[in-house]
Amino acid sequence: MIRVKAEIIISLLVLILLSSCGGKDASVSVEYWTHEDSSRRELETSLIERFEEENPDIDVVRIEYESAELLDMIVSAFAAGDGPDLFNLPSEEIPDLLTGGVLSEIDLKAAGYESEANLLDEYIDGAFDTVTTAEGIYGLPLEYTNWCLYINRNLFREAGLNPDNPPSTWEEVMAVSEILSERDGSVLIQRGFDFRYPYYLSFFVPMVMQLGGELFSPDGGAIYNDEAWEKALSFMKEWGPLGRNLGSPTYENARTLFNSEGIAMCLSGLYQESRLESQNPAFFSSGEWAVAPFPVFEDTVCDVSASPYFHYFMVNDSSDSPTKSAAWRLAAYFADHAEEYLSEIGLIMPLKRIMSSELLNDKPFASVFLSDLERSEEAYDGVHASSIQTLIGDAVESVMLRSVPPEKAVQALRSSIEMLLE
Amino acid sequence: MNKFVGKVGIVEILVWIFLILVFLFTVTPIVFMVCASFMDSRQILAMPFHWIPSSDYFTSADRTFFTNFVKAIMGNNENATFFRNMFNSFVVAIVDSVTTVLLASLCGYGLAKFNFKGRNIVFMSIMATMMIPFEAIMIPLYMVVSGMDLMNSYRGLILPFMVSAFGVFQMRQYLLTFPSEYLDAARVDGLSEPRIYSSIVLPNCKPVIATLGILSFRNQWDNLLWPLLVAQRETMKTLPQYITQFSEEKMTDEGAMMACAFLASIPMIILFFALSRYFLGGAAVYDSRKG
Amino acid sequence: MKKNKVYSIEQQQARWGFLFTVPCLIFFAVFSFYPIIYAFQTSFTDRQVLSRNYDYVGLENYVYIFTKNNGGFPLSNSIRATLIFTIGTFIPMIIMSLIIATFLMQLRRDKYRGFFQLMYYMPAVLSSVVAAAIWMIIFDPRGLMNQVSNFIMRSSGVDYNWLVDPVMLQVSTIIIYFWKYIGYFVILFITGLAAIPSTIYEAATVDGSSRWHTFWKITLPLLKPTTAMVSIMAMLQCLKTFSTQFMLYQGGSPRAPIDVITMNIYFTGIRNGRLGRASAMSLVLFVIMLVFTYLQLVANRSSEDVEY
Repeated sequence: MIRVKAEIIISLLVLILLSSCGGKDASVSVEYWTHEDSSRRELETSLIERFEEENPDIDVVRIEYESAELLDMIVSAFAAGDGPDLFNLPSEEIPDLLTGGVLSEIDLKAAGYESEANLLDEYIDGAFDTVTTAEGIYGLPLEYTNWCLYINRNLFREAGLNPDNPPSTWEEVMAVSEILSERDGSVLIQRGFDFRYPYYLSFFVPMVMQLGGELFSPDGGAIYNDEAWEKALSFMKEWGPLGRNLGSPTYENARTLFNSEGIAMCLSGLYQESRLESQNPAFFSSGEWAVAPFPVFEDTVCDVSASPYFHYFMVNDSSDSPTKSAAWRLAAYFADHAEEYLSEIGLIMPLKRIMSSELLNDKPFASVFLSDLERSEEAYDGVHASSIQTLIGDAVESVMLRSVPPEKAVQALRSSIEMLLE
Repeated sequence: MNKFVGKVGIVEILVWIFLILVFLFTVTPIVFMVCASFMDSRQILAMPFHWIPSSDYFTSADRTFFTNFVKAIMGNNENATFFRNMFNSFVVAIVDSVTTVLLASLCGYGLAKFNFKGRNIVFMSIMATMMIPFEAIMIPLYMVVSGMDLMNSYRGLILPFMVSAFGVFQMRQYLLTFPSEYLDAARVDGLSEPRIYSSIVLPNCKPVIATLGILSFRNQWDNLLWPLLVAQRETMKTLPQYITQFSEEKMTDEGAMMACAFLASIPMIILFFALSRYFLGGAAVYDSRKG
Repeated sequence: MKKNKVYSIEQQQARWGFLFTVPCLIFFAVFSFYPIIYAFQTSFTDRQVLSRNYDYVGLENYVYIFTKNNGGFPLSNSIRATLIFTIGTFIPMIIMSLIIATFLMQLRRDKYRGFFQLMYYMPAVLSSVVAAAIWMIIFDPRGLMNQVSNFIMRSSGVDYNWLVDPVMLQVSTIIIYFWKYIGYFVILFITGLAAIPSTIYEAATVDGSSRWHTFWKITLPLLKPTTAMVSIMAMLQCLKTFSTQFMLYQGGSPRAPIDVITMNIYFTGIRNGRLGRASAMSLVLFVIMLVFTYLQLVANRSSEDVEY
């Protein structure tokens, strides 16, 4: 008996001893969850250090998640009545959080604004649409991003293509990719271009819109203009392994591959330039890359570019009020350093002073991004945006990978979305 | 050990061929991981694949023999939490496997060799927990653990997995065939029940303890979803979390990814070979008791 | 069990038996029973992941998951995916590991047997994350799997679409699972085989039984308790599979062909926020597992009374 007991007691003691004891003694501790991004980590770590020096009573813990995990973790934590104090998510994930009532209204005083008008005035029009309800504003923008077409001029030249004449239509993208890709039998060894797969609201819906379709018809029904959707889906099918085999969601993502010169074209935002600079400085400074506008279809009826999206800082409503104020103060502190976000990591905070700054205009190809913004329509950010994106993704992938006929996929997508919105 | 006395013949050769094919199937991916951890992604996905990188590859200026391993250890943030996370994984896996063995053998013994009222209910309800997937109880379990204020602590990582229903089941199955005569002899000798457990039952469970211990160690070493939920701080994360986080940005760098996977597997492989004597000896111990 | 009755057991002894189970029960109560009861209760509510308030809706969730398509991922498809995976994995796995274990026991030297056992078990010591990372590269169109398949099929440059084609994708999950767990089941069977006293075999040899005959008439029946345990365990594990499918999905593979019930629970509960429906699905899975376990136990009814 004694021996057994002793063994159990010892193991329990070990447990208790091993357990870490409490946090630091700062009076307020802000837990900040964000998605993984190595360049932003460096910047924000140093900003947080400075912030903590200026506010000695606040202790900030910055926690990173892989971007696919972040939302799941935040949702699970909220469901269990826990969760971070401050966090950021892209626009499409926010509506569900808003309706769930887990977000805290912005603390204008802590963020350093006298009034709401004062805050709105500093940002571009529409910067707060996603996070605004009848009651108030629930977030502060972290980034405003749209995607254009990055091009590796070297690879173009090697394939015998003219790098000064980048593809401007999807049909050209396909033709050029055919030339740029390498194959061994039917095995695709190198791609010329590939899409940014899980983010269908940002690139695929605009492609549908170019063909005259819409996510919602004017009367509110889901999937407007079947023909446009079917056409866009057929294009994706043609792209995938069952068609011309030019790419698929199972390959490495194109934007990371682009930095190591493993693919000739990819879709990405302005921040890609900074990543390229830090990951492949030789290529960056060689000037052998370029940015072209988001392509359109040859028979485009509506000239739209990739849909821009926001990321917002948000605060957990169930944190206690000093923590909430501290969290908003930190978010505003980040926004105060918007210039550093732009110059160091290429992230655009949608402040008026940033959008019109020399700093932005001096960035290579900034004009391409800005003019594409002009002809863009914002990504859908209404109720269930995130689930709708998943459903669109399933429709595209069912056509691309499982040879479901486009007409059927469109029907299934419509009924799924309608069921979701019921 | 040879129980079938037969002639060396075609059957024997076929048996060997079969065993070697299975061997190739289980070992090739591991050898692949080891080889790939020294290569860059271009070589890893080369067609045809060369198992040994060409010699001039390592003499090139921007690569050394260990480039991938340095990347893997430094991680994305140069914080090098790799070893800390590995330590955490060890702590969790060791404590959980020790407690699982102790508690499950105690419980399995109680269920196998005693006829108390409600025994079947206890057994059945424990069995029932095996039939609920973790994903279903994830959120209520999170609520329990966060309610006990155990987030970001070893206790939060360890406590929910200190017992395992399968362990109880396995122990019970094993002890069902344990000769009751031994126990009764001990009782006649005046040994107390806990004493019988600790000095007769437990030592005789060695083979099953080895398999159960290794299984629960492995399960905890492998656990990803739960640590993701309860361990958010870098210093409390476990190795599987480290690997998934690493894979996010390094996904195009398959070499570094494989190096990371290889490094993360080394302690398990060493431990496995070091303990293999007990582990494989299990069968022999079992045998001597029976025979 | 019958054995116990031969010896009279006093009341006091029985109490000890119960006491031995108490430490375990405490842990189960807090970390298993409570969450399970909670999930059970949730399955009768319209609880959403982010809202605090919810109402009881009776059987509505159950009706929903059986009649509606659940946003494109109906439960019926998940049951299909789970059953295909389970049957495709667990039956071959039991048969293969039994064959391998029998073969290994035939080897003339313990050293060889030990070596093979170790090598077969090796994949099991790698974590799932590592396994997924390795197999994703192997299944890549440019990876080893296509090269090996092309070699075996005497074809050249064919892409077998391991991660994309619905059928191949299911095969891929089965291969990964098989690879990971075959060694463990082999060892369980070897432990069982080793427990069969060699005197029995000697007697059989004296009687002049052929090896084949010995295997069917002696080994298999004596192995019943092990087979019962191993097959129940393997089956439950297969029905609960999650990480292999989840990681392939994360890697870009289509979800529908490998949308096993656990994955549907995760997505319905966490991504779509419908905790009530997710809980109802877990109850369905629970019932499926219960039925299968019961069938297994019936099939192995006499297994606990084996006498040597």
